[in-house]
Amino acid sequence: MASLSKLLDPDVLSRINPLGFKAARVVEGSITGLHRSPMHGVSPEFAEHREYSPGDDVKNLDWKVWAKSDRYVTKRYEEESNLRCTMLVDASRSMQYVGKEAQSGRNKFETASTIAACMMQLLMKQRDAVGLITIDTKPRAVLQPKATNRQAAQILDTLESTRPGGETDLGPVIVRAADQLKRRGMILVLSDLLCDLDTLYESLGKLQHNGHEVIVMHILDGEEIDLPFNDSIIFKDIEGSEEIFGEPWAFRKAYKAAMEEFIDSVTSRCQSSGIDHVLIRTDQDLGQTLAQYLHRRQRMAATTAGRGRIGGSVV
Amino acid sequence: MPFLAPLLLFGAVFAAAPIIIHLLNRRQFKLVEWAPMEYLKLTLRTNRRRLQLEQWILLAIRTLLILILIFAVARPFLSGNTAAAWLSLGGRTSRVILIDDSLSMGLTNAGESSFQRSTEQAAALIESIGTQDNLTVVTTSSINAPLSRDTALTQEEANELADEVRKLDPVESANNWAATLAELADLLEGTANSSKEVRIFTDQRAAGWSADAAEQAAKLEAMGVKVVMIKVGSGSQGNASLSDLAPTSGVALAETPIEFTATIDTDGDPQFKVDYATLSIDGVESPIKLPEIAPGQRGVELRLSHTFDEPGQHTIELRLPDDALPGDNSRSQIINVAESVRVLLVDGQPGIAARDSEVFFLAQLLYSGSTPIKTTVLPDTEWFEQPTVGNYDLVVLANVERIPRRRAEQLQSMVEAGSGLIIFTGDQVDPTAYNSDLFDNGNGLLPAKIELGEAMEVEGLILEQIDNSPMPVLQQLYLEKPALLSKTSPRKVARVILPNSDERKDTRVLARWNAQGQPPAAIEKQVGKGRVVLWTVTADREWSDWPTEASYFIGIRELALTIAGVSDATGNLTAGQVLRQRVSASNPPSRAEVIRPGTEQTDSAAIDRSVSNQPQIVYSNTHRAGLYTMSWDVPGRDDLSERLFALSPDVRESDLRQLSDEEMQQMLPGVDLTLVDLSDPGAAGAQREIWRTLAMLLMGFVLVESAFAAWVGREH
Repeated sequence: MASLSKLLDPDVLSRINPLGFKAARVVEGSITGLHRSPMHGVSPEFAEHREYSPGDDVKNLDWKVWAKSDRYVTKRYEEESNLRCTMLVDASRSMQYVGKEAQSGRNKFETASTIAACMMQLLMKQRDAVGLITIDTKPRAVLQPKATNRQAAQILDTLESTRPGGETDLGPVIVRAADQLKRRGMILVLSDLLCDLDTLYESLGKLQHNGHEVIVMHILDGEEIDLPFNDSIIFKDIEGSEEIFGEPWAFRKAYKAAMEEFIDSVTSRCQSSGIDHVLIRTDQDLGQTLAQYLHRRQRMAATTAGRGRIGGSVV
Repeated sequence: MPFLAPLLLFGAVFAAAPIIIHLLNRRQFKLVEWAPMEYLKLTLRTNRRRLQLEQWILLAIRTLLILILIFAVARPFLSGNTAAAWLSLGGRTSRVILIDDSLSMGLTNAGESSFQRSTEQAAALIESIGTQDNLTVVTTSSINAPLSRDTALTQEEANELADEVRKLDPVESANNWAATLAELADLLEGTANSSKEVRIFTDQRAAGWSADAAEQAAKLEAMGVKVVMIKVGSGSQGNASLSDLAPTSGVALAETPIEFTATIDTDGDPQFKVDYATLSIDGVESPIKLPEIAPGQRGVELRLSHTFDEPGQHTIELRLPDDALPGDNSRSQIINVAESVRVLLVDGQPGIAARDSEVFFLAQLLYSGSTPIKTTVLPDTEWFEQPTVGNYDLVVLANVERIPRRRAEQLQSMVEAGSGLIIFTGDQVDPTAYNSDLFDNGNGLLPAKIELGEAMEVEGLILEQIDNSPMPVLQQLYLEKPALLSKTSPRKVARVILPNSDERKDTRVLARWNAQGQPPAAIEKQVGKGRVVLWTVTADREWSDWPTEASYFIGIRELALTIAGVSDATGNLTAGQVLRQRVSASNPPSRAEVIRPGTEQTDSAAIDRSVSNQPQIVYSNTHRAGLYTMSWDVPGRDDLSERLFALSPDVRESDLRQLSDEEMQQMLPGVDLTLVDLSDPGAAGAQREIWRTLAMLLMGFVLVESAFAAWVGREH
């Protein structure tokens, strides 16, 4: 049962549920929802007045205006639609890493799954359609967005049954996965981004070009950023066979600088492309991080309502 | 570098600890499956060189830390300032270490003598010289017998040689640097390597250096020898020296008090006092109280008197208490105590009756008195027939016409060895023969050239007031009762021509005739150890009536007894002089030996046969003061002949004036000379432990290590 899944972290849910999640752009939903639709129709949300012209549905005539001004004016309503959100979860081997300080002992994949599950729960509550694609070197499981309870159960089952494996080749795989989406919507990428960044940026650009709103949840373990080891270490490539011996204390500062540069470069690139970039550290409170992001997004949505794109990053 | 606890140096293996710890650390690693490998590789690629450098520096500092700690625990020391440039060696060189072992090197300062300091430094040098160079080690007194001659030594041999050098002692002889440098040049000529270097350890005393050294320096310069002169020893620190010990009169007679004069010099150290001495006569010691001697007082005379009961050879030794320079504190003398004074009167004009004899009055005056005098009277012709002069303490020539050249030479040897000679002129004397054979341009026995006697109006004898007159009583008589001598008025006097003042430093006029121009009456000349006195009158009454007067008796008798001396046989020499003993040419010994002072062992002596009719035993290893006993066999006889020699320290070495560096450079012009001063005992003498320096170094390294490690840690 979906409500019993360990991925649905109550702490996280309790923090994000009150906030809700709205698409920054207009979305083409099939049912009525929270999100603005490009179609105008029956909706409680008034949009504008327009001079009546013959052929218009008379049920839309605003009689109060006629009574006051003797003019025939029709009311137009802004239609609200449901969101189609597809979550792309990186299930490569590198997502398996778990540091000592990780919250609830979750590795990066489990963290990504928790985020996916919680976001799914949030969106489903809003009657938004949610889909899931797990990827490594190719799309593994593909669940087209739906807003049914059965979909929710399937998503949770998929996430729980997936074991990370294989190498990361995020860029091309994202494009291939997105090609399977029938309508434009929101794409939530959950990955550590330890892949070729140039092809990744290229792929994200293509998604945007196809009309998708892209959010990148950048998941890294705290140890991967801070390199807090004091012993002599043999670093073995988690996705390959290469081994490097090193005494981390000797190059910690330089390594941290390199990682910070990596994160900064991703942040600034996403920012310039209008992609939300959220850094999720597995050693930090996940609910808080997500709540911060959603809160910030809410504020930004309020100030930029009607605009096509939003910027900014929540870290 | 030497260590006091060299075994602890094995702890140096602990220097490998940081390396081992590092290797062990590498073995104790954790395996981590890592995702951001690309960023790890990037970091390592850009920082690898810096990281490695830092690690190496840290490893080197930690290894050095342990090495210094072990080094300090093993207690290294520096031998003097061996670290100074003079010890730095390099190249393939024939090296000569020359140690001055003359008497003055025994001067003690701060508990250590200059010689000890020299040998310690030289030994340290020998130990560190390595196997690449040829080494000659030699002392100045034994420059012909080096301890090592141009040999490449193994470390073990070098250590043995160094020990041998440490056991050396200074001698009591003086050093003649000109001769030493000549021998040194010969030594260097025979060395194998073209690069030659001499290190001379010396106290640089002025005594022993002369202008002749420059000539030898030219030889060293021509060979391109590098000379390093290492100065040891400072000024005097309280020294008294016994500069002379000699009997006052030439002949020592049994049962007659014999007077000795000892001369004591002290340096100017006000703290230093010498108030007693030890007199040893034939081995029996007795203390002598000395008169008050002020600091810096020189030439203090001490009169001693002793009566020997038995005739024969006796020894006398005077010894001052130990001081800064003990080598010059004692002197020995051999006294040949005779039964009587042996006098030969050579009669140039023997008469038929005794009274007519030329030497009648002389014989009379010698027979009289208490002193036993054995007088032999020989006519000149008879004397000339004898092969030698004979064994006499005094020879008197009275109106002898001429002395054959051969006999003149014998006489000269006899006087040089200590005997006395009195010459009386007369009508028979041939001035030309005398002047050529005996005066010999001032080099002979005759104090002045003589001319034929001439008539003269004389009104008495004038005694010159001089020190150490051989006729002190007559001198006194002249002062108190001049009338007694005014009666002396020869009718005829031989004129003499005194040598000019430059040539006559050994010649002096004892008495003059009170006549026009005051012509000399008696002229004395010192020849070697003996003295010659020429009287310008006859010994008999032919030219004057003086022989009949009391003053003649008094004067001539005391003159005879004063200048009579035991010739040749005394054997009182100075350390460093060669021992010589003439032996029979017809029955020469087959072997000769010498027992050196302080040893029981015999040392063989050479028999010099280069002069065929005068073979002699020669022994030159005489640099120690004391009694040497020479013995030799006489073929056909069972027992050995023996002779005793007493060698006293060379007083020239008591002069402690040092040459300045400039003077030294002048002594060795042109030579590649480096002067090193090791005379300060604090700076150079004692071995100096350097643990303090190492402790400071260790602390410095600990600080550097901590700071560097902290910096590296913070950087990363």
